[in-house]
Amino acid sequence: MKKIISYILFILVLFLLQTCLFSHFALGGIQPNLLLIFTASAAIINGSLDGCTVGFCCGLLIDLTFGTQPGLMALGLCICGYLAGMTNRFFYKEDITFPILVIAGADLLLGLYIYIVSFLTRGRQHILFYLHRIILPEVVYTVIIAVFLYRIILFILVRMQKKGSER
Amino acid sequence: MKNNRKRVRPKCIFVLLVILCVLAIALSAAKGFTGSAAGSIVNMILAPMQNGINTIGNSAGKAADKRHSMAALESENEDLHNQIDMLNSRISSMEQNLNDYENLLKQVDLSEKYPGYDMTGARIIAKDPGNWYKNFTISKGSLDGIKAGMNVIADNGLVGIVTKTSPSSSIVRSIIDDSSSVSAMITKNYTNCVVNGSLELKDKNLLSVDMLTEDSDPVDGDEVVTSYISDKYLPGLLIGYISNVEQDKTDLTYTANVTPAVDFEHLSNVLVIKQLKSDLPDQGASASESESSADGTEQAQTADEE
Repeated sequence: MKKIISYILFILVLFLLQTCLFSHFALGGIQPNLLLIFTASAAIINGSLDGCTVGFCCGLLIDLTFGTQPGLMALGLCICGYLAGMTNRFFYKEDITFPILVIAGADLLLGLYIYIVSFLTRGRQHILFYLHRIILPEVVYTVIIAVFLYRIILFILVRMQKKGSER
Repeated sequence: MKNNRKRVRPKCIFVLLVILCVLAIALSAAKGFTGSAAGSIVNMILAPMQNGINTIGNSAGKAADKRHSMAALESENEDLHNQIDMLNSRISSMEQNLNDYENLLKQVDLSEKYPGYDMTGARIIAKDPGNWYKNFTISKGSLDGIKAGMNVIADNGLVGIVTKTSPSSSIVRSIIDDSSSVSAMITKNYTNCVVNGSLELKDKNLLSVDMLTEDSDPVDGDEVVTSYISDKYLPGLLIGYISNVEQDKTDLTYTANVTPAVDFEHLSNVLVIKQLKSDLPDQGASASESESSADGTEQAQTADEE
């Protein structure tokens, strides 16, 4: 129960931070993807089940507020969360490099997914431009933020679980 | 508890969620389902929080922008005060001119061109979480009379269109969004064209223009406004100015870019026109309406067009 509440709080806070605060700190028009960091982190720490559920909820939130096609972002983040969750078996707390790599991979995957479903389908074919202008800068910025944010997420989620198992 | 959770296999949940998503996508594609009810509830809950946090973000962002030093502000303030005085005097003389102008327009029965739309100001409180779309949330919603489809302007130029509303906030899709396209025309010869947003051109602060026919004869600097035939945008709203004209290989059409009149990078306040294009009265009725509702906003419009 506590885990679910902390998930909801995390999603809400990160969503608000991303839409209201980080849009002011966009570098070259690019902002980091906080919700993806959280989805991937939850997946790495707690496995595929948590990953795809959290991803689905994050995506749904984006779809309901800003999206034009409900379900698109939910599907994308859900897939990212599930795939990132498969790396859960290699997870141990002290390691930070591996989770960051997974987060970068997930962000790359999400970028390609969005490009394919909502830009390629409308005939925008310059994939190299989008890769070089949007996807890769976003991965870099996301990774930089993830170095800090992952530790915070890890700290809180692990604490929640300890308390949960004591009961 | 723990055993229970272990029995739930991630794969099943994953497949279930994927099916849900695909169902939603299919529904929205086939029947235009947008989940607007749920969306408006979520937006209603989030709007006050976004409002608060955005204030912090705004001030932090401004602090990061070191361009505005105190002294500069003070001198700017003085300048602006002078400008207000000057503009006030100009407004009063313009009002005089406008009255004459309207009387003349009445005679030639053209006054439906610039009816004094009812407008309301709103603040931008949140922006799209991704880097792909250029949507934003404004601080007014259906309680303030905002409806989906209303046009949004700033600095006398077109900003975008309201796509969703909730009681206290609404989502606006800007014209620089990649999926936006606006039916427009070149004012000098009333030829129609289509102005599309483009993520590729966004860095150069440009929009792309399609369907420019041979007789449109575009030249750099030509004014582009929304056209009469658009079913979403009110006619005569300034979009921007033509640049980079190129003739296509077929010699039948031109492609060009438009520099938008609005500075989208530093947009924080917008005006929503509370007049839907679909409700716009036809010519006979509007002539009388525009007379009765001629107010301050009209001056800005007409002054801009001159």
